[in-house]
Amino acid sequence: MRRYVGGWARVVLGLALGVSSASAASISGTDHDFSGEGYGTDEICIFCHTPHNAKTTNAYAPLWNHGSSTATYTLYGGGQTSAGTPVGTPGAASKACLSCHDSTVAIDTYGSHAGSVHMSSLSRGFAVVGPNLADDHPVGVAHTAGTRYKTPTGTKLYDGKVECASCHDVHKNTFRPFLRMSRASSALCFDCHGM
Amino acid sequence: MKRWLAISAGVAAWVTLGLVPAFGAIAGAPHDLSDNGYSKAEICIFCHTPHHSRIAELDIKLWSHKTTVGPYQLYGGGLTSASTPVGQPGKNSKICLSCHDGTVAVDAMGSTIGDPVGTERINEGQWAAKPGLYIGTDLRNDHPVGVPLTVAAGKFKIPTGGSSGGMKLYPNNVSGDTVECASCHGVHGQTAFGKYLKVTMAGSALCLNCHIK
Repeated sequence: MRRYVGGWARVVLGLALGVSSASAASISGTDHDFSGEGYGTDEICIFCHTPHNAKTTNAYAPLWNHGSSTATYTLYGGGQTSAGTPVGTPGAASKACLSCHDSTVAIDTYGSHAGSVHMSSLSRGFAVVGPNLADDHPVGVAHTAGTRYKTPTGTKLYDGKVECASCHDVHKNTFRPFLRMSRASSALCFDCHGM
Repeated sequence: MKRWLAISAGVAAWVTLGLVPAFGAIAGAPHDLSDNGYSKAEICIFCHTPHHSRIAELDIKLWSHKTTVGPYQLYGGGLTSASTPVGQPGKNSKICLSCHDGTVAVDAMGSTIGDPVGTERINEGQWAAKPGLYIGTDLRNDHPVGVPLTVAAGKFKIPTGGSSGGMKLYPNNVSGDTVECASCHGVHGQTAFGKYLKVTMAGSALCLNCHIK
């Protein structure tokens, strides 16, 4: 009974917090699984990770194997939020994502494979963020908990900043599109925003 | 441990079932359209999107609603009785009028990836029973917006205080800035004053925050 209560509590807690209590969700079969796309390999992890001779330039992208973007980004609010908080260039936990999603580097540019398929050439309009970040939620921006913003619980900060990976989990698509929490009732937004 | 788990489960169930407001003021308030039968059971998305916002259409943070283009019939034909010119509504009015003037469907929301049309304007369907929400494009019978307030002894003063960031003139709450919908109304914070008003109407405090009478 005791074990049953504990399990039930975890399930309910999981539902309340908008996090999956199951560990079955995986990258396999999601939009981040390119193994069947004819990109020169039938592997999944290889597009971002390699077990050997990896690039060590990105602390949040272990064993990195994808071509890195050198794009110059147009920042949200011209580099400042309306509250006057500086918006910097995307941090490491954003650069990993933008290596495909700013569309300057081909998706299939991994390891020694010379890629040719840029995201902008696919019918994936919403997923193509581009180097213009003026129309996107700011990243590279410090988050300070207070009256306006809450300390996130289901989403996360990187070096105290909001980055792509704050809301998105590249490996898990339980909450599309690769979100850390459900969008139902805008739960994900309210994890930080105290509206 | 067992007690902690039981309490946690209880609190979690409470929140899950919506017995307590899990979030701030907009959830559960009239601007929470998540349960009005539209295609998105979300709150923020009606006005904001995290990507591909409509900022080129209207310079509002992460704007995601199709923007009204009016055109509007202006208060006083474009002139107040004191001969102050009344301009077209500014962006801090157009955000509101993009639903409340009835030219754009309430649910015409989404990023620039697509051209949202929506299904129901604010003078139609479920909203028809609430005619007070429908401002229309004829603003001749509404308090002027897009009108500058110039501080003048015995006439007008700069508003102070209030909820949702406070009553203000746009953009900087200084003499010569304009009165807009958002001067009196805070879209996010439904208050005890109702109608998303930033200051109480008791004793006409809201009016007297600008008007010296």
